[in-house]
Amino acid sequence: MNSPIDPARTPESAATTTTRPRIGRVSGSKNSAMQDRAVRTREAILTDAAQHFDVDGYGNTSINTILAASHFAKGAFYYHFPSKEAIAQQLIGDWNLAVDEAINDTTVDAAGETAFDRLAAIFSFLARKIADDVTLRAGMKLTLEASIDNGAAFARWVDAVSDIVEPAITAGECVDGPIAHRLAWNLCSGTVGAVQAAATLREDVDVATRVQDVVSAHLKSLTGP
Amino acid sequence: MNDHNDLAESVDHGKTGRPPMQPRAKITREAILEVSATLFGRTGYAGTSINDILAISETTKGAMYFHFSKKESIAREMLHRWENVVSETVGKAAATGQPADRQVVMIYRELARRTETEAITRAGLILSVDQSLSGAHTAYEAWTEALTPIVVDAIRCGALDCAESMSRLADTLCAGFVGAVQVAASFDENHSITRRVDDLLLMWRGTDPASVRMIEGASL
Repeated sequence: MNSPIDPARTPESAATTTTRPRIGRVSGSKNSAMQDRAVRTREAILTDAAQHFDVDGYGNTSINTILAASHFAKGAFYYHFPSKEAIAQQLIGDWNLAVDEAINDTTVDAAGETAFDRLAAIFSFLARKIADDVTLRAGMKLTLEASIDNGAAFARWVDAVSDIVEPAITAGECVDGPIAHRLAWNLCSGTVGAVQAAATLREDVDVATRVQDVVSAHLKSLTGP
Repeated sequence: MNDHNDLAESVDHGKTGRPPMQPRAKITREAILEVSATLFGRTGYAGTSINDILAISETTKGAMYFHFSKKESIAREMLHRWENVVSETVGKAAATGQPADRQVVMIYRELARRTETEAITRAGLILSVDQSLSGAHTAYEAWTEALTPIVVDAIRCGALDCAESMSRLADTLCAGFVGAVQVAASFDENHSITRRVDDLLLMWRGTDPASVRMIEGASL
């Protein structure tokens, strides 16, 4: 068994790319395209695993518990993913893609908007995604999982947000100060906290609202007089 | 032997069924909690086994099971500590008799200071949002519920600028707090917790110099 403190370097841990890694067939061969059915199975495995990771936590979930509650075979599982960590990395990769998507989508239609409007749009987009999609919710939480090689996904998220905040500070859109420079980190950790709080409090206030509460409060403090 | 299946309502004291009496036993118990808290912070509650804890502590296995019959009992004790820290801090702030908005700042700052310096308190807070630990959410709920009346008071006094989402302000602050602590803990940046929480407090006080002074000046 892998020690959680010192995770073994598995081949798949080296390949944390933003695109999905190939799943068993040599790319470029005539069989390289996955069949529809295989795609569906792969998605089902990811969704089922994400549900367990989200509720029970990564460390409490074993491949067997995922298999017990699902309708695919163990062989199918191992065909698609060599290990539990491979699923986690796929989920983190999907989360990274969602962050990129949120940032790129708002670039296009951000003509007359300020950087802070754009930040609000990015985080409300992410909040909706997190609320609707369990794989992204699990992916976000896994970026903080210390026992796996997550490719510094959380830092990547903070950096991506920083790239929007820093020009805004330079352009004088908000009060320049140490707090402004910590804004990106605060927004990202606030989002994580809001997701945890929403799951813990089990009230009728949904994840998206809670995330927006935190994000808009942070943004308002820097723009308001 | 004790019934180890139903520990939700009482604290597990291991074999003896009562709290340790001897000073030496108390020291051992604290040492176990301290080491566990450090490991939980590093590898997460689920990713830490009793054997991992034993491997880096000076405690023997027998001593471990004397004090805690299972890993969950350690987590429960930490949650319990966190709840105590919250009620203690709220009580201390109320005793100062300061206006409500100043009390809110004091409470969050004091909690930030304690989560930064005390590993057990920090672990307790992080465990309170752990969904795999049954009943943990009551500790988190107790926290938000303890703060809600004070925050509502502060808003009512007109001292706080928070028109919309007013009813959820306490929740929002707690959410921001737990997020900051969780991220800081998983990247081993615990020293930054108080600074992050100060940022959080500024988020609803605004950035005018008076409120900055107030946040810096308020401490228990």
